[in-house]
Amino acid sequence: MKYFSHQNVTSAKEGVSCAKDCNGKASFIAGGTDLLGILKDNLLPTYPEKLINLKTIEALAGVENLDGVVRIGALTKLSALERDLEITRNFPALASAAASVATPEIRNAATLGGNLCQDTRCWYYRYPNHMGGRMDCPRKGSGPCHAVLGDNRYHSVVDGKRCFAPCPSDTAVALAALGATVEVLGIEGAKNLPIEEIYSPMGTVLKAEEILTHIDIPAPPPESIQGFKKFTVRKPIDFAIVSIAAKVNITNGIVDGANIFFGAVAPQPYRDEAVESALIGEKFDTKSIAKAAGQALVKAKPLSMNAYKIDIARTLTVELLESFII
Amino acid sequence: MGTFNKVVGVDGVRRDTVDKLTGKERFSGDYKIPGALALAIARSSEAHALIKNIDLTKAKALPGVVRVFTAEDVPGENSYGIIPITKDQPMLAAGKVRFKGEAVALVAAESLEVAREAAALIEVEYEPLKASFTPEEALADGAEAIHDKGNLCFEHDSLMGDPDKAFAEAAVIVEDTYTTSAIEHSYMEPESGFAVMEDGVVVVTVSTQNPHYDHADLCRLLGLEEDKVRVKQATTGGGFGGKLDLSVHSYVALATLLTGRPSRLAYTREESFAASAKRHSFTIKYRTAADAEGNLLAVDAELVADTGAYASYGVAVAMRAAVHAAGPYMVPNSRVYSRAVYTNHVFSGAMRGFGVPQVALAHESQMEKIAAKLGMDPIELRLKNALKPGDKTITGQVLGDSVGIRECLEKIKAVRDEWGAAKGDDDGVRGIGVGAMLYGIGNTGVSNPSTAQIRVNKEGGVTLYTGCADIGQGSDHVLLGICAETLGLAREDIALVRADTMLTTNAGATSASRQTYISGNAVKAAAEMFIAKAVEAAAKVSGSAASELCFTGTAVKGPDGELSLLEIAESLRAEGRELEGEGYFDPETVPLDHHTGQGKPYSTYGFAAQLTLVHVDKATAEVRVEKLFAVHDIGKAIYPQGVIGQISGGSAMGVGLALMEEFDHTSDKNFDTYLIPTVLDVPDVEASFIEHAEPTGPYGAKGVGEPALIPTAPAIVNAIADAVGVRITSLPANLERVHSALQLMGGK
Ligand SMILES: Cc1cc2nc3c(=O)[nH]c(=O)nc-3n(C[C@H](O)[C@H](O)[C@H](O)COP(=O)(O)OP(=O)(O)OC[C@H]3O[C@@H](n4cnc5c(N)ncnc54)[C@H](O)[C@@H]3O)c2cc1C
Ligand code: SF4
Repeated sequence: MKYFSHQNVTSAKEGVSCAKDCNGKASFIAGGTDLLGILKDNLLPTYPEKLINLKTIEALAGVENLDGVVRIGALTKLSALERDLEITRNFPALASAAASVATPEIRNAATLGGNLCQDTRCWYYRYPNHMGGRMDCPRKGSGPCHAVLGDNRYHSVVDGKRCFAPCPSDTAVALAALGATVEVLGIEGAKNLPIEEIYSPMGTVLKAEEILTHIDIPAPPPESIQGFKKFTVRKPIDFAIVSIAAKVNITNGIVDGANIFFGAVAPQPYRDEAVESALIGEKFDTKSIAKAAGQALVKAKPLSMNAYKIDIARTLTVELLESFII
Repeated sequence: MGTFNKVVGVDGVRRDTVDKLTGKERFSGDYKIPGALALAIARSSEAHALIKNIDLTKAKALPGVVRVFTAEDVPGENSYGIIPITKDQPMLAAGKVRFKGEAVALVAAESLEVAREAAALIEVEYEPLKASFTPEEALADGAEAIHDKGNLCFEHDSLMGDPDKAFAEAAVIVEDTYTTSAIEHSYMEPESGFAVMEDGVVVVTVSTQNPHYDHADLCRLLGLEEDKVRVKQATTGGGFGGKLDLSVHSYVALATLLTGRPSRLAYTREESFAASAKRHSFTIKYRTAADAEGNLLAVDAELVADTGAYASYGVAVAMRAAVHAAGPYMVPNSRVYSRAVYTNHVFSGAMRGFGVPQVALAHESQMEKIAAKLGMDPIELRLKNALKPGDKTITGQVLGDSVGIRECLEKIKAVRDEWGAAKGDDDGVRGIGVGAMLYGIGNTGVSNPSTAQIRVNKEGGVTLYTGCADIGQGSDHVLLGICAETLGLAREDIALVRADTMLTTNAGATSASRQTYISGNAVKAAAEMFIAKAVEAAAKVSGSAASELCFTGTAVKGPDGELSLLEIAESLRAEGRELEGEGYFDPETVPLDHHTGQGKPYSTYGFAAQLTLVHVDKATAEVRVEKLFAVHDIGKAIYPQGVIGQISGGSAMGVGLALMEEFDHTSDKNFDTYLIPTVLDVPDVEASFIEHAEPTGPYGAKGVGEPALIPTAPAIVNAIADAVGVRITSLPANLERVHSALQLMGGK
């Protein structure tokens, strides 16, 4: 790793102005579980001169119930989410997504904000510099995408453009299904965005000096059911091949609301409207579930090696939704 | 022998367990070495290129850099390699690079940060050459030669009987092409070591499987006499064949020799992935002929192995794969043509099984296909053809007495029937598969002796000296067990000096499942000689006849009292002799004929069969191995828990080989993308063994390290076929492959 300076900040505002003063030559560090690996392998053409430590912003760690909305500070640890009563009770989809990440050691250090903002896992992108030089590609600003003609079995099947790396965050998928929004603080002040809108094919839309401060989740209607499920090659410690998060509202046995999001198939948590509309208005049973699951990812345009993800998405849909039938 | 069986065959806590669990054991990275230089390697960005210029100016100018080395600084011959006929690998690239990640220059600096930064500042000007990434590309007309001798590293022919006639007369012929992937060893401890100068000697302490070979090639690279280099094996965190090649050794030795300062180097995991040996990927074209009753008539196989940029163990792998091509079966006619081909991948070398896991996929898949064609029970078919004592292998070797494959298969069959009944007709998603194998113990058709000594130490006890590297598999415990058994002592009574080229003599590599059998025999011989010498000397001192005397482990007892070992040693010293037992064992082999491949490659073989129960999810194509039952004929278990441990660990590796592991040369550099099974990905393993004592083995022992993994992948592939009717011929049977096979079959 190269040398860098390290600065603690105690408020998001201070963090933003500190980053602004550095003119793009600083990075924010939260748990560091992603960032330090990136720096160690010297993946990017630029290397920060300073790390601005967000963990010292006490106000941004913790879960608060604000009358109908649950607010989670971006610096809340994933391990805290797994255990927090508010979360496990009202947002089991999020608790289970958080618990599915990596290992206990990593979850003890990793923050929710960092999980949402983590960089792509594309294996070409992650090729370390000390092994004969990094691999440049569109996401790094120059060169061709290696995944298009290369080994793209773990890449996006839908919505990729120039870069085909899917969003690796598990919590993002659950948060999207729960209708969460994030607040981002920048030089011009704060703005709110639906969680899935912070992602673009080239990475998050956050500017270098913007901080994701917290995540708001509306309280789910009492009659809704939610869950998260993830398919991996290796059982523990593995990123999703496909994941699904769903929140379904059922009134008198009929589905009157459905949020279905897939993870690891697109640059953002992918809202599958085809599955949603196949469910809405139907009786919630194995038959309607099977039919809706058949619609999963109908819009996909898989790359040369990853069509198999579609079948996995369909199977996960059946498995998750059937587990909702009481 | 065997009369006071107190140690051999008895379990108990292995001698290194507590120290490893409590962190007391020191690996090379755990030593504090004041003033040690930190090293970093600048690696090639090109897979195949001429080096036009190396500009070290910026690197040298960085404060904290002590020295930068290139090929020009290598004082001896800048080429190494385990096999004497293929010493083709430079420690620092000389004029040409042959794979991406190859070492081009070495930086020694006051801190690791500075060393790495300096390595990144080294500017190399390359003139790229056309690279070949498959054996076909490398052998095609117009391919750029990777080495002066061309791209064919090695070829081996084997011919027995008249295969053409047998195929012409056969009732059934099955054929297919099988491929296997490159695989990373994934030892827990990456390559690591350090060097210091001690009285003009370069002393290298390193994680290794083969200290005496390391010593010889270090002398060659550094241009030093034998007594100017000493290699000590540090406690080693796994090897699996990947620590048979030189790695950090040469760099720390060079830096310390040329600066006079201690130096240390540990590969990062990324370096270990990019620059250490891989398992050879194979393409195997295989034809088998059988008569209508299922008797095998002939095998015709063509094997091509990608040996990467350097030969390493390529010759041994290609040859061993050929010798084992027919599996544990009696096949009267055979033709095998095996090649190792250079490509611009990182070099392939030794990895647990040396090419045999690859050919086992082929011969075991073929057996299933024949059984299906003949409507026979696949285990019955195997039993019908299984080798027996006195049968001939495809190298014309007549087997001795220790041939336990039938018993392995019979045990497997009983369990198969049990599982089959429990599973019932199922939902068409569970399947049961079998895999069987034989494995020659020791190196192929060459002398590969081991030596050992036992001496009285100052305390009056005995010390065992062995050059054998324990890399975590437990050879220390086994060799001490054999020594203790023979001397009538407990393991704790014996001091051990191991794997230090100044204090011990060559035991050969810890590879080829050879140490229990070969070093075990050397240790046993040393112990027997020690007893004989002690008794003879005691007879002389006491005046009693040797037949009246009895060796007790700590003394020699006679009718008139006893003489301690120290007393005996003293009396011998007065004659200018030492109380020492020297042991030597070299398994009897006959080199393979260059044209026909006939000979006696090994003096004994291990045998095994394994059974798996797998579940295939037809929608996601996920394969999970639910159960594994293994039976291994190991001759004799010196330390039974160790045998079970080897089988359990080996079969876990086999699950990886079957389902997950596929080293992608461009992108894989760490465990985030290169997946190996965790404990949650491997089945419950029921491991067992049978003991068909090998008359030439120490207490009847053969070996188990590599056999442990060989039958696993074929058993899994065969179980997948049993479950869902698709035969996977390319490993690993990962999601994409199983998925597309299911789709092709239209089974969904
Ligand atoms: C072995 C391993 C396995 C893993 N498996 C999974 C998995 O299965 N599922 C999964 O989802 N993830 C997985 N991860 C990724 C892991 O979850 C992330 O590394 C972690 O969540 C990042 O959080 P952090 O707080 O450590 O972020 P950091 O490493 O500190 O930061 C990551 C990035 O986000 C930026 N950042 C952090 N916080 C903010 C903020 N508040 N505002 C703006 N930018 C910010 C940083 O500048 C940096 O670019 C795995 C990681 C490892 C190492
Ligand atoms: S998928 Fe994206 S990150 Fe990967 S190589 Fe292509 S552009 Fe780069």
